[in-house]
Amino acid sequence: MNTTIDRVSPEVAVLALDGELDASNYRELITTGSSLYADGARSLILDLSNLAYMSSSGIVALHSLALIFRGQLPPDPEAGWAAIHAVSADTAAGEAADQVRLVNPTPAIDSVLERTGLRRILPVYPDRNAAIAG
Amino acid sequence: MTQLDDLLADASLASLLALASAAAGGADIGVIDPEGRLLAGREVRSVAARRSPVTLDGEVVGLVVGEESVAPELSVLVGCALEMALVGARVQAERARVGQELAIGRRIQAALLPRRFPDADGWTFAARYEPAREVGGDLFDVFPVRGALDRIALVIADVTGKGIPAAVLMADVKALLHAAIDNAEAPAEALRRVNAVLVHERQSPLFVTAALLVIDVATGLVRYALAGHEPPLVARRAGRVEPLEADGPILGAFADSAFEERETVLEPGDAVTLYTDGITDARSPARDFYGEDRLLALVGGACGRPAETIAQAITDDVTAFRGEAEPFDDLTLLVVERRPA
Repeated sequence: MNTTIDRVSPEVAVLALDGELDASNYRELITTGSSLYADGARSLILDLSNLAYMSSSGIVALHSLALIFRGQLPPDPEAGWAAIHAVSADTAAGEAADQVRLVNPTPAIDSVLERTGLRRILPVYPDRNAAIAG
Repeated sequence: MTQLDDLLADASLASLLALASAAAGGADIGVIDPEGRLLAGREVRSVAARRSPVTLDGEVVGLVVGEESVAPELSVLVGCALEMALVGARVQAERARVGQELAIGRRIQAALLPRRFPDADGWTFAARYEPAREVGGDLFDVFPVRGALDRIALVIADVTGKGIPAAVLMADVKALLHAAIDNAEAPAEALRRVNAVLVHERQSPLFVTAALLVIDVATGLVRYALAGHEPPLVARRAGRVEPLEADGPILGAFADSAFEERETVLEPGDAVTLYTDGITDARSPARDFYGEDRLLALVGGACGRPAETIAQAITDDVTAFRGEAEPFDDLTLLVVERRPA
């Protein structure tokens, strides 16, 4: 999978994913998102237009990115029972939770987002401009 | 003790130093640790000795020491060879460790699978479980609710992860689900309880998808709930396939999850196939996905067939589709059939 970063402003980064997101590269995606956050980005737009496939590891990556951009500790997806749990990662607190936004997923990926419940924490937009506008 | 000690037993280190010494016209060459202790080769006591560091991750783990007559390039070359050997040994050790961890994970998984199916009057079960080399974390279970044969619970689940952490979480989830089904009246409530425990009490960053069915043995009434899992497929005897859809997110990710509960009735000759994404995400040598449509068509063609026939047909078709490609994910199937009257 290739990623392209477009820093539209100091606070907003667009990350385009091209290829397949799976167990072999989902940690890199988390790392890339972490560095953008550390570098001052507070909104992450994930452009999924060219993402052909996402395995269940992709779910872990997207969930982790949502936590990172809320300023919660990044979980280590393979540290097992010693890791910090991703608790209360939802809209229950009542605050707006759209620090990470998704753009144009394929129907197959969209149905995985819907099925797993990720759409509740990651709003989906038809194109980049709509996502940036929020 | 340095990382170099691990290489000392290797005969090629002695040959390397002997060769280097010969190339330097018989001059003495040796390897010492940072404290000056001789590890291999011959000791060089000269004050004018040439010293070339051997480093690993920026840390000096030893020195190649040669007599004055040894060309500087030669001792550097020996140092480089040692560094490459150290890195290679480390990669090999890591591979062995990962392989061992996966093997332990697989053993835990295998121990979790049911040894036999409940003897429920009028019902037949069939299952297939083929663990992948790399990715693991599938589970299925069939058991009588509260030990009574009037209601049978069917579970299929997939942990997002691999190795020992995934296997341990799987064992945990299996026990949690079993207890929750025995104690909660309904499948949706059982999933809600398991989710709450995973979110609030467990220290695991992994998620679980699951499908949970409770069958009333006498009437064929099935109550079911899903947690981010692929909908089980009902093959009606009449020749129609119905996915059992129900809303519910993955377990362990959201604190306030709610799960929808639905019902269907299995008439004699009907069967339900539960599966994990290892089936639909199986890939051909051309990298195409097996996909939900192909599975639906296959199950549609197997309507009215016994559970064992359906399980075998799916396994055969996925295996043929995959060709020589190595399975990347676990392949797990559970089929339950209400036998024709």
